[in-house]
Amino acid sequence: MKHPPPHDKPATRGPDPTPVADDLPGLPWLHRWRAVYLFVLGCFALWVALLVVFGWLFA
Amino acid sequence: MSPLDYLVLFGTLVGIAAYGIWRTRGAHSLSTYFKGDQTTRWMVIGISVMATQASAITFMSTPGQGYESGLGFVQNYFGMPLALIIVAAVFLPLYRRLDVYTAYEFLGRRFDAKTRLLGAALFLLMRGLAAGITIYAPAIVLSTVFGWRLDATIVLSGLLVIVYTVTGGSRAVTLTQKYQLALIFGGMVLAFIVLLARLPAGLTLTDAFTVAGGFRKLEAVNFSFDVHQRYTFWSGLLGGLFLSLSYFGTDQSQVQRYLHGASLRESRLGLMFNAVCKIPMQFFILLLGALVFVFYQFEQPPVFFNEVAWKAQADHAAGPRLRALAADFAAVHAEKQQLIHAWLDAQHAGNPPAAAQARAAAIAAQAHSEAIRTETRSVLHAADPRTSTNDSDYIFITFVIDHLPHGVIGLLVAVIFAAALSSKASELNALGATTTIDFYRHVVRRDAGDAHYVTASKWFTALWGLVAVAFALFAHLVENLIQAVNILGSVFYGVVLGLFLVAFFLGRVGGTAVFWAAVAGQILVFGLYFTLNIGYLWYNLIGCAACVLFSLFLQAFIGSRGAAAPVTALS
Repeated sequence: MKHPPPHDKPATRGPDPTPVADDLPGLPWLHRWRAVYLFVLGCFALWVALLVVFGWLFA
Repeated sequence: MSPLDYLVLFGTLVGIAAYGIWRTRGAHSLSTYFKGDQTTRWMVIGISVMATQASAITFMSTPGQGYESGLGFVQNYFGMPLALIIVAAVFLPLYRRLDVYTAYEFLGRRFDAKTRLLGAALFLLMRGLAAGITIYAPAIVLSTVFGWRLDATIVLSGLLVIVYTVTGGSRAVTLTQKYQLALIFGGMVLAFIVLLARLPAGLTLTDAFTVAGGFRKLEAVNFSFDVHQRYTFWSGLLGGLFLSLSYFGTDQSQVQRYLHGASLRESRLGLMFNAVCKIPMQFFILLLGALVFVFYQFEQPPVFFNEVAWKAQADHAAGPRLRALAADFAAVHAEKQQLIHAWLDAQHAGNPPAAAQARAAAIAAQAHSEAIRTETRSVLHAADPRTSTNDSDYIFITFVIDHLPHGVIGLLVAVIFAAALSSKASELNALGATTTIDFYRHVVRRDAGDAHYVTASKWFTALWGLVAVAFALFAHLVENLIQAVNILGSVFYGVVLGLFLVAFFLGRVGGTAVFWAAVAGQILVFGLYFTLNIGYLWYNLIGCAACVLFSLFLQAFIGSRGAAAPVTALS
């Protein structure tokens, strides 16, 4: 049986470390990471919309 | 440049580097040398990630893109927000949980040593060559424009970045990037303000946008499904997603930046900062280029922006033809200028038919100008085939030299160098880390102490810096170098991303299957590259898909013998 090299210790399966306050976004109105990701996607949609409007205004 | 410009240029660049060395002086452990002291806040991480991606090319070529093609190039970044969300939600927690130094160390833990070394080797090959380009690309433009010696420009800027990267490690890179990016943004905003101030009297910002829009420079989003069009919403979203996922998720020069975070939260927020800010930032730089285009509708631009190359041929056999073309170009420009004034006057007078008529005539005159520029390029190329016909990299620097005040010129040249140094420092730091952690510590010397590895990593970082400088010195021997490196990156990036996607999402696939799948996928990509004629960005997708599918097939064939999947994103 092959042994893993010293720096390649396989990490064991198991539950993730208990979430602590440090793992939360800690932003006003954005209390979960899902909300942060939705906010980012919303910003992306807003940028695209603004770019379309900007091009259309001066076409 | 005046003595004031040189003072600003050297003062800012050397000052920032010296500050980085001073602040990070003293002994380092291996962890602090490669990951800093892991107390970095999200804003600094975000800045570091942004500064690593924004090379000198960003600040020289992107305004040129805006000048020539308008804002459409911004669509290339449309896949980035989604890619960064995936990196933050899936890649980053695993990297932090396993406390790795390099992304390829994760492959070793998830699969086996050979897969780790394959991923690390592909990275070293790609990034080692790209590091040479990072320093060569601005040096060739600036040495041409200012008449500096190319070799001295490459060696001096290369040595500066080697010194502070080797001395201070990853923390010095992050620290200097903070001030370099402040310099970059300050310089670009100043250029924007001066540009607006230099527009003709009576021309409002709305007029400037009207002119830019009239010449179709403000069409940023194109929803066409035509695959032959270079920039569309869909190609940016899909191609950009894969490219950004490879770059931010698997390229050590980026992974090392966000592993600096004081916590998972800080690293994630740093990535989200980029996901929100990158598109507006690129829009701003492209808009600067579009406004330089408007500026040159009222000022006579050169017929070819690489004026050194033009003058070199103007003194030889092609001279009479080049001068005749320049005279034609000036005449058409004067006619176009009158038509634009007539167009704006009609617009202000509330006479749409007259405005439309003048605008159509101005567009026709612009097409005539472009035809003269194209012919000038042909004459230059015929006179000396070594002359690059692409002068878009010279547009912004020509505007800076010819029309900005002294002091500001020095500041903007410093901006270009700061961008080159900040991205090169990250690259060298990542190359040193990967060579030390994935090869030296893993294969050559496994049982040494921290101090030994720190010393080794300093030597490796310096060695990669010298390799990059040497590559940059001989880069002119390779034709169309930047494209060659981009092609090289696309040919390898797909397979590397495939390795990581299998690692994260396909827990039943083991090391042997994914290793041979990556080798087979890479051979397939090479084969297709030499037989098919498709855009090189597609190889990102093909390499990734081949690696994933082959690994599933091989795992089914091998069975459970090769599978040992301790950690995946789904575990």
